[in-house]
Amino acid sequence: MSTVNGTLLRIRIGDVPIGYATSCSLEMSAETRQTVSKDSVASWQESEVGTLSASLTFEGFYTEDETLTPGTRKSFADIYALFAGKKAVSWSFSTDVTGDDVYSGIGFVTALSASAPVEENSTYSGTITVNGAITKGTVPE
Amino acid sequence: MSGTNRVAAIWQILKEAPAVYAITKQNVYPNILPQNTPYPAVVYGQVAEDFLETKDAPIHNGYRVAVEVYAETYAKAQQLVTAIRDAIGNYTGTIDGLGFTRIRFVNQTDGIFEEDLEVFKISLDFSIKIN
Repeated sequence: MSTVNGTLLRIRIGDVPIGYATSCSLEMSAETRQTVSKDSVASWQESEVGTLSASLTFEGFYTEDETLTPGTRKSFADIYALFAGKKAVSWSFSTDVTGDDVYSGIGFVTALSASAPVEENSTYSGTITVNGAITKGTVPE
Repeated sequence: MSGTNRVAAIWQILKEAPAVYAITKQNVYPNILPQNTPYPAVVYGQVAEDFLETKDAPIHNGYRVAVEVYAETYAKAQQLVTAIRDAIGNYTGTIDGLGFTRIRFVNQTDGIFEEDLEVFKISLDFSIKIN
């Protein structure tokens, strides 16, 4: 078994990776409703799955240097524009290696923050809340 | 940009700082003191180069430079340390086209008296952030 190096897994908005990212995640959850009845086995909870939801989170180094994000990377400023414009974005989560799995969908940038501690590198982080279903596919050639 | 150029720029700052030159004259050297060097004298050198990993590529995160001061009296060593810290301790600017976001003083340590050389030694650490 081989694991996937986390460096390769990236969030892309459109086809453009989020720039100088240091981590990213895809988180999915399901609401449940209890279905305990007089016929249930004593002391054990029974549930049915209801609504599914998901979000993506990302972190990276904050930069305004255009040479570092020359249009092939989404910068903090690019993501801010999506956030402020309340624009729906198409996203994907994959290694972009042909044949690997790719998860994709539509979402909104619902959180964006920047951090600047003294004598440390500035960083930024954000959240994309998924709107609708997630599609699982394969990275094409 | 190589660390050698950045660290060599420190030498240029020190040799052009009047207060440092007044004490050391030209006795500022990289990595090692030549034999029979008169005191006070200064040795500087790179001790670390730091990169931060990202999903795109490593980002250069600066250098750590050590500056060692040697003098025949503790008072003279302290005087030279003060002059060096004043010269580069909070330096920002460009030298020979090399941009320094900031040279920051990190630490100062008194060394053990060098009995063979009969000199006092004080070590300084600086952090260099580059443009």
